[in-house]
Amino acid sequence: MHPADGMSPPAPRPGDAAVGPAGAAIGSAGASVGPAGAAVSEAVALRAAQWFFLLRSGEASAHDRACWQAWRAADPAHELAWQRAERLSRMLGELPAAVSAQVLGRPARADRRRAAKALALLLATGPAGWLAWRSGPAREWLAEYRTGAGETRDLRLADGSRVLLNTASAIDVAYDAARRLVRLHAGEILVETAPDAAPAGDPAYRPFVVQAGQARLRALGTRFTVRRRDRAHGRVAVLDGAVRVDVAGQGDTVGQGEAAVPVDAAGRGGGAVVVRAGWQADFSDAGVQAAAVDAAGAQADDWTRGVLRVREMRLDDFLAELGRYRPGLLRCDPAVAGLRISGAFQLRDTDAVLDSLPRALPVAVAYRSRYWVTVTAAG
Amino acid sequence: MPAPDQASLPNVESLYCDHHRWLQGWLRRTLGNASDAADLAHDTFLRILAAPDHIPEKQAGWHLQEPRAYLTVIARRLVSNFYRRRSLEQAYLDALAALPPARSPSAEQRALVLETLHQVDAMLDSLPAKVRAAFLMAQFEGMGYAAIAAALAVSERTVKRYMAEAMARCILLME
Repeated sequence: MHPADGMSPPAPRPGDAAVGPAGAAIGSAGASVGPAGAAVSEAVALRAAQWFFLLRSGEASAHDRACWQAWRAADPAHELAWQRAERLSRMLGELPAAVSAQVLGRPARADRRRAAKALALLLATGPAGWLAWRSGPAREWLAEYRTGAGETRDLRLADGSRVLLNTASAIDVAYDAARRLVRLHAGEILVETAPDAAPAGDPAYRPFVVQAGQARLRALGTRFTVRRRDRAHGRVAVLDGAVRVDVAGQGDTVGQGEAAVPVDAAGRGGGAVVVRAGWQADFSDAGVQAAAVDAAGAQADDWTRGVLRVREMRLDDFLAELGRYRPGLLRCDPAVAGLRISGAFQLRDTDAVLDSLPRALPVAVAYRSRYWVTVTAAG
Repeated sequence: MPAPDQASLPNVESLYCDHHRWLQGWLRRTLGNASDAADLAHDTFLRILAAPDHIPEKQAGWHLQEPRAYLTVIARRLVSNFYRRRSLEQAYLDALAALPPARSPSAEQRALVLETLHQVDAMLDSLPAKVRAAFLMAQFEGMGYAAIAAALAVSERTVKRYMAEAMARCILLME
């Protein structure tokens, strides 16, 4: 029951110190027992919640109401779940709205992140995934990993390769007998590949490939970051080793200098570009454009240290970048969009970064809510 | 809180004698603070005494295979809860400080609100960030589903699903 140790700690009780909802995430059986002995399962809780919102929306018909009454009467667990919904609603109604929004919406601090990290590790190395991998190396093992705004996640894959997910990112891991494939659906990752069990050149060797939309990035023994800006555009930055970038259905490929040499697997000089350490390349459906990384500027893996470094960046670009790391809207008034900003900013507290802006620039930060922030001209 | 089960008390007592000092040491290293460690070690055993009857370990009379591993599972949650409560109290004080003095609540009101906030915070804790955000925007910021959908860059359908998911989690975790 408990993936880490096979134990079953006491059932979760919110507000009770010893057993918080962290336990619900990793250790509970997914049911909670009421005073009358009726057990509320996850399905029943969800049904009660759906009834609650339907009735509150004012869109419920007489038939809906009859169904709701019948549902409540059908099982003591249903009635118990319903009563909890009503009690919760009263609890929330008694709280002062503005203060509660601020307190409950406070940024996830280190403690919450630590718990999330432990859970991610458990998922990454959990017995189910490991067994699936061991029992059928030829079978494709599919996994999906995500992060929310402001979260990062550190994954160790079955071959020992490491993938760090930056904020608001999603990947699939698809390993089979022929390849080690990571599909990047959204966001940004840092990859540190482990050598495959078979040496390169051996027929059993499985290349490590990141697929980002149309682009395929093949690792040549390496450490690199990949970011998808949207469906068609992305950027790869190589920190160690090299990465070969192929764009399916590409047009012209532009490789500048000795860092980016057009080659393909058969050496026929196709459209692939090899990007070497210290270089980065923007890719799109149209092709690949490589450029040297400014050694004095931001590092592609700054985010793995929780830092955003910028130099003379436009404020609207800066806020777009910062906005990746927090839920909700972060808008920039066009009147101040062209102001320039430089510095190193801590991503783990984007509220503090916003608070600091009026000290650096002639701007004001207007909170419509914690999730709806606009940066405007001062005064 | 259920009354301690008399039959299993001797076993809890020996659990306490054998491991309390060790647990307190473990907590002191985790928290870096002896008095908090003493409190949380105490709370860990209180939690075991108050465990509901359907817990398998209680039914087995607290004959634990790996008592220290079991105690640290409970203690870890206490620690996480302790940090969460502290950050919640700090956020509440910060929010109060921003209010005009005339609107400042009385000490009793504060205690009641803080307790309710703590309960809600604990229930929402394990939810994904967007689900939690959607729920808070609807409950406390008076935002409609369309505004929430725009703020979170998801569809209104998804916002509806988030709301039900958040509420369901609370229902599941309530007493």
